[in-house]
Amino acid sequence: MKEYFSDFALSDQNQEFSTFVNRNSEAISITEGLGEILGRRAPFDQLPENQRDVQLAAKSFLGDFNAVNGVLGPRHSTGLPYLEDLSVIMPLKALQNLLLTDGVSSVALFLRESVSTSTFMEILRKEFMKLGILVDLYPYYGDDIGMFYSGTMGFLFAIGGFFFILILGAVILSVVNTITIGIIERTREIGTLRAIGFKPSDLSELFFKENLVISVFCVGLGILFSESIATAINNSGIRFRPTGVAKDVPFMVLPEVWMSVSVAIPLIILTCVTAYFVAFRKTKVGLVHLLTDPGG
Amino acid sequence: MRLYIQKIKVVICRGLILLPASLFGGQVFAQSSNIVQLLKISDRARGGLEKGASWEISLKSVEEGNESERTFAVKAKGDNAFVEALAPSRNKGEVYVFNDRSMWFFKPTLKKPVVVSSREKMTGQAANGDIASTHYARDYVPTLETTVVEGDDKLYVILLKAKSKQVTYDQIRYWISEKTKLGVKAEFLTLQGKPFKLATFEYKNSIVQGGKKAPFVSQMTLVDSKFKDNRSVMVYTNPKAESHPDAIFNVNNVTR
Repeated sequence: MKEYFSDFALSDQNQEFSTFVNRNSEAISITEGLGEILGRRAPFDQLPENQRDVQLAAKSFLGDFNAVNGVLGPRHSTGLPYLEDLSVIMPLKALQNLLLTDGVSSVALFLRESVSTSTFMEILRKEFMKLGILVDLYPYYGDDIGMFYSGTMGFLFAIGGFFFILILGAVILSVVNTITIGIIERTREIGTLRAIGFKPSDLSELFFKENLVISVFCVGLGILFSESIATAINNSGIRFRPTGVAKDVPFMVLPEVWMSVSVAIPLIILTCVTAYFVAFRKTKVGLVHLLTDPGG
Repeated sequence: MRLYIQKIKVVICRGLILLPASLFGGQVFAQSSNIVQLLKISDRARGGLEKGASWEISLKSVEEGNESERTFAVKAKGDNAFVEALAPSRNKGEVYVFNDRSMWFFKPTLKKPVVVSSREKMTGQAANGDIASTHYARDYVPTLETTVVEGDDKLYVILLKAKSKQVTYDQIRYWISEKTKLGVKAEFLTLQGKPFKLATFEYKNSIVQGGKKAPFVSQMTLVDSKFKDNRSVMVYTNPKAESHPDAIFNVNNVTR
């Protein structure tokens, strides 16, 4: 279980509920908002016993009105304000008693980030087939069940993509411009090297290597710098409440290694290729012009 | 002299104005008290007996092609009722207590009774309140809308408006026979006055009360006004006039 499932499933909140259920099979966990509607103030597990006794009523799957006992225990939060007075966590058996069923219609699994959803779905499908149970499996990002999620993420990616293209354009122009000016300023140096016997290809290779070393060093320095800023922000304990979220959350900056690498590699290639071609073009100019060039 | 003549004229004029008004007002009062009386009589034939009665209800419903059947034993006295589920076995032991206009649900596995609304759907087209809450005269303000002739009988068409939000329906259009003084049919209306459910009543049962034999409801058919296939039929059997102790209608005694 620990191999696949997210810490959310094994969070303190859920562990506390599991412990409470082991002691009392009628235990339920409600949100603070629902507690207010019921006239019960959190923390519920510290209320007098007669105030912790509640009844849960619902229409069963058979269409009959039904009710079961519940004992208020730990509280939980859904994270979303519009669900804060609608959520109840209760043992499966108690819920089945309330709805007069011995089955379940859907189960949500919260996976670790490192677990591939599609791979896990394949494993699950095989396991269920072995047991002869027919199930429909949906990834959380699928349009069938996660329209809100996929819509929101699509919108965010569109905005992110737009800004990425803008910044990318500015970066490309800056890098090409800086390297070109840097090499033009060193025209006399190129002329001198040519005069003492360096071939144009040797000079282009020299500038290529120089820029490779500098860009690798700078990218490394940049990653180190951003990591240290992220660590400083994460340790400062800044909290904020995003729109549509029930409680404040910590402000965290989590740099992704794959994202840093995917930006660094094209940047290094761009730097080196620019340096090679600008230097190569300069070496094609006559030696006298190179040596007498005012340099930018 | 002139002053006296003028005073006499004023008195005559006032009399001419007030006489028809008082006659008309009296007629209205008499009419409304007649309607209430009519409602009380029709209520009695549907279980609203002051001294108490008991009967059984078999409730068969068809909802979107799904059939269900439930049986209840009802003990009623005045404004109170005690309804016990007899079948199916999964519902056996479930109890609904109607105390005045409040309603509770209880079953042996519960620690405390649960407050329920009489408006809530019990099964099919039947609301919780349809099982035992039959006090139209008590719960609604009647207005005579019109009268219609059906065969050799005249039917009073009465619009009933709820006195409180606790009652089963906001508005009812109720047809009462002049000949039998019994409710023939009813249209249950939304707050906007649109019918959403129709009911028809049959009175093939009889009940002996105070040495007199009186008709008693034998069947109530509830039909969805839009989807006519969705219907519930409540068949009333074994109606008996009998006195019940008040204690059975006390919700605090249900858990004991």
